Amino acid sequence: MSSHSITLDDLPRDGERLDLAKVSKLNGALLVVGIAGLAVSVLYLFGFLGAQKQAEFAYSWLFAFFFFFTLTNGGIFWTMLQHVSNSGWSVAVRRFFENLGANVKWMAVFALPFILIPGIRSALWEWIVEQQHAGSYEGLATAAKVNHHLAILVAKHGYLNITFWVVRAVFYFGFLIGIIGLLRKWSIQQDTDGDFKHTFRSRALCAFPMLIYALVVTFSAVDWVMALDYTWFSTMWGVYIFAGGAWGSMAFSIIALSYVRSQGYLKKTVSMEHYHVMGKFQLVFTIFWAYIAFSQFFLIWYANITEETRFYLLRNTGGWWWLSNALVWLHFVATFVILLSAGRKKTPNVMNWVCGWILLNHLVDIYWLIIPERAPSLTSGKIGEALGYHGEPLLWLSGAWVGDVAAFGGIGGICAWAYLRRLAKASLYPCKDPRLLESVSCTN
Amino acid sequence: MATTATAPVSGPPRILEREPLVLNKHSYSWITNRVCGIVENRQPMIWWILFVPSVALFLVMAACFVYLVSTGVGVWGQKQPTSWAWDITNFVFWIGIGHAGTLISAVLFLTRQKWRTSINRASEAMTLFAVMCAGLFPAFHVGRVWMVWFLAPVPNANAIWQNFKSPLLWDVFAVSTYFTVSVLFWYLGLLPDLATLRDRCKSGIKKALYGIFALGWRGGNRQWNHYEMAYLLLAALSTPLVLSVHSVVSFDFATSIVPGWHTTIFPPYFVAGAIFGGFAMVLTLMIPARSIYGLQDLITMKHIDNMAKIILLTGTIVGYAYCMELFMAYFSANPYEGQAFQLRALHGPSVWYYYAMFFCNVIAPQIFWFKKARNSLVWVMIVSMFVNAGMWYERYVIIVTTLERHFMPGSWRVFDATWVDNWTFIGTFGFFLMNFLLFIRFLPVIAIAEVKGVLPQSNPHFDEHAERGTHELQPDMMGADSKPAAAH
Repeated sequence: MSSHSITLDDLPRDGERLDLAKVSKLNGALLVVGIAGLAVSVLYLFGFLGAQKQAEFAYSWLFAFFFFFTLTNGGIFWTMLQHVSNSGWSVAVRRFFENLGANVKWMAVFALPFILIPGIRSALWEWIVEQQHAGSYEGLATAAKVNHHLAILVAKHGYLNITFWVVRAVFYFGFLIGIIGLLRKWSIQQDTDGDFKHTFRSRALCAFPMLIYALVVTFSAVDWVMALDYTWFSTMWGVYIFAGGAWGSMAFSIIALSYVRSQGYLKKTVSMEHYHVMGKFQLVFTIFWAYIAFSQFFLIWYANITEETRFYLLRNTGGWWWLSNALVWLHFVATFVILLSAGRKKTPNVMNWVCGWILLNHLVDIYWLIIPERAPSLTSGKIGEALGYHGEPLLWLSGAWVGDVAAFGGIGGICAWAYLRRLAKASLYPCKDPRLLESVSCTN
Repeated sequence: MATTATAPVSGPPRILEREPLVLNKHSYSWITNRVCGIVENRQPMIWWILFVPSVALFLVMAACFVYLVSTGVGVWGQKQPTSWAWDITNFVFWIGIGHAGTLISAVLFLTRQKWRTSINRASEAMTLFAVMCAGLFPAFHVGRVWMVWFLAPVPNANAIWQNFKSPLLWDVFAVSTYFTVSVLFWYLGLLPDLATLRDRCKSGIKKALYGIFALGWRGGNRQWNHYEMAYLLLAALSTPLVLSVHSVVSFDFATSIVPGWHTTIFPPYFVAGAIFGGFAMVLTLMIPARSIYGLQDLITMKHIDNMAKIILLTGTIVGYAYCMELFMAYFSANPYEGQAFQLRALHGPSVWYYYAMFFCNVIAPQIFWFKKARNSLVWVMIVSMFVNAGMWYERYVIIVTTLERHFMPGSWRVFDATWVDNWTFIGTFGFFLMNFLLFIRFLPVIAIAEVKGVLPQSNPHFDEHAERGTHELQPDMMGADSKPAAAH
């Protein structure tokens, strides 16, 4: 630390506000990318480019949606964790997580096509097609007598049915929007009145709902991604998705923090110590993700039961093998080695590159979870027949990547644009938080 | 001031203070005298009242092992299909307890949780004794215990080739590495305190022995420098070991294709369960110890509050894992998996074990949502006892109730423990407690040097003018003696 230890007198009493005019170039560019991406996405989503393209694009949309959904969820997690653990170091950077989490409203909007556009949801979730085809539970049970594969779906009908599926989605978003909305509201109120009660009640609010949060993360991941193949299952699934989301959202927040500091803000409030702490969390979650990913893979590989191995067999076939290896060597090994050094964690310029790298790897992870299902699902079964495919299922659909880029640009552009605008709506740090001094003077 | 602490103030900034880690503004010498006094003075009567039965139980355990070795492993109750029973249940139970120590000393050290300093020494010691208890079961289950070195992949005349593909062999490596590093870590932390004891001894054999084990510690700058670097490195080395040991233990089951054992969440679920059980045992030992030896100002209610919260957190994680297992047993639509959990929880012969496990591990800790319960020694003690029992039930449920109802209904059989099973297990508690009491008798139960390091006067800037503002504590947070400081 510097020789002069910082005091609250060194900081502006009413915080610092991001001037949107200063960041208008970036924000304008994000908006343009977002609108362009969405315009292309709309063509795909509503089937203007044909049923085949619409079905392919369903996976692109889920991929982009889920990537940003995990980041947003991570923002909510870090905000809740800092409140519930009564954390001191994090006050100066908490707004970045609060604002990231508050993006979940946009995620709810981007989730609408899954519920409202039949072509999208039936391309993604084969179980929906089978159930709609059968008409009712009785119909499904009758169909299962002929097609024995459907017996699995009959057994899961209590959970995997469209009504319950929609109700759950509404609950997930209701919970996430509600909790982050309250936390952000109280945090901003404290900027004016400086009342301690906001700190205490935020902590109380985060305690028990942390459990609900865990269930929301788990079951949203089950509903939207695991159920892409309704025969597959793993008890580790929710933990895996959580680990990746927390990892990516910390990286995103570090980049956002560095960007805001590069515009001349938070020079006194945030020190290298904060980068160090955040870098350590980054390292912890690099390891935690690898531990979870390894355990899940290893136990399925060792037991070698057909109904479980399908997930990894698909992802170890053809070109996907390279991506699986990228997760081992780049997502984990390289990141782990880079983050071991304390010096690197304390250097913002290095951390910015590392965090960009981390976001890229998180993107690869989500891509690897969702996109390998696209070609086999769309070229087999009832959907394959409807799209005119016969014979062996394919592993890769050429040309579908255009949709991936469009969806990613559309959702990402709008999310980032909304995030920057939200950052400017209140002080960049909770300026009257009673632990602000502890945070700005933290050492570790 | 505490009553108005939430009302807004205009004027100087308001600062929320942390609760002190050592109460009543004690000096360095008070801490040294209080902790060293436990070793230097005569033990209170209660120590003897606990020690004598512990030794008796230890002897019972020893007798059971002698009987086992001289008669055969058949004196234990396992018969097909329950070929794994109390031995591995007890092994996993004790090894789980042996996780809290290294978690407190290593993980809380790396995360800069200063409250660890009052409890790390005793928890580390407890860890070592728990791992010793755990090691007895696999060692003696081989029958001819002098052949146990065959587990190690060293050249031998019998052409025994260890099965490197077996998680049971990984267990040998994981546990022995963990034990070795835990001993080193514990001993390293002891050095400055051993030197303190040496310096306080008048003369004679005691001084010589403390002197030998203090390895010539003089407390110079360079010694502290090396010491702290070594401590940090060992902490970083121990952390993956904490995770690896119980992950490997979970692999013993999860790599199989047995329904109820093979599930991907096992590794983190076992680790969370181990921390859960370990913290319960730390509380079980430390709550009486702090009262007997008057350590309430060092192991404060804040420490107990924190540990109760960790029990709540890990208990809830364990509950999450139980529920995920149940959900996936349903969601997988796998009839074997579904049947395994129905037999476990609904209509098997040992459903009561499942209910006992669920109540002790998931329901009982929920009372810690209330601060009143966390701040009541009686409630904390009751819940810790439930958790101690619950974690044993958990291992019994996973291991025994699964094997009782395996793939062939024709050979189903309910496990029945013999008197040797019972007394060997009870005897390990005597062994454990005897070791812990001897530790209290001969070694400083609290890390003196580390506790001094977290006192306010250890901060070089402590007497400088404090930050301008109103320093306040959260209302109802601590006792009356921690009134907030006045505004500057």
